Amino acid sequence: MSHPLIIVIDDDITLRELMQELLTDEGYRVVPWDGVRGAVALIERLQPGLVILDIRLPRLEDGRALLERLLARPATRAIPILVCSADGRFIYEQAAQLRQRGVATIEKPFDLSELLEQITAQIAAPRADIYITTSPFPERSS
Amino acid sequence: MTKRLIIVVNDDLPLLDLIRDLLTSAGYRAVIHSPAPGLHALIRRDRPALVILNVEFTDAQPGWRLLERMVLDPATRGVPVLICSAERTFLREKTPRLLKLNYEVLEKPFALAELLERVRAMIDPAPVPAILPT
Repeated sequence: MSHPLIIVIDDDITLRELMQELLTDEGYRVVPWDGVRGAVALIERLQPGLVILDIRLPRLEDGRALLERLLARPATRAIPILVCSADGRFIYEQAAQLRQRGVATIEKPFDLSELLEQITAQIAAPRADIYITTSPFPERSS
Repeated sequence: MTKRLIIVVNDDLPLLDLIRDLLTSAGYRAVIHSPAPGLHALIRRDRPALVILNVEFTDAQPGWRLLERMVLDPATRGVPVLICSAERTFLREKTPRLLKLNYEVLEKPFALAELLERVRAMIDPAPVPAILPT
């Protein structure tokens, strides 16, 4: 079985390279990507098993816009996404809403074991399954 | 006996000098640095007994980025870090997370005696007294 492809989007080159090194050691294929520009086309083309998306404070809106585009496009909306952020408030306020949309979150800083746990969970549970179990539409009582 | 290595990272040079003098007088080997991209590699290589790291919570700040790398990298994850910050919002929001990761936090401004006390507690924690059977 081939190992899943992970696209890591982060503007910190050292962290990107470190993630690539560590995740490659764990058997994943990793494509690092610098920032949001060109990311949608790359993800559409490669159809990764997971996207790790860093949402940084100075350009929070860019990261959120990318996330919305990935969730809206038919070619990318089923791809699991793990959102990372150092902004604890963003994580706490948005985690439940994002989870409902099948997007996982992890607060920075995180260690390798926490990251691997999230990766395993996301790759094992594609978003289509998560949609079924946590539909944002409330069930109607008869 | 080999002196324990402490790496101090801060962009305030006068404060760095003060801390280096304090730690050296207390018997430690203190190496001071301004935040720089190569520091993670240095810490990975030298495996200090402690890193005293100044962090301001602008997300692109070098101190914060160094911390992110140190936490993620298994080669540096076990190095104790004392995180110093003057930003109360940062401390309020991030302290629980940092404590969960076994790092320690010190709010600025601090007295040098307080810093030394924290350093000693982290590097040479008092032995847990044996519990004698009654």
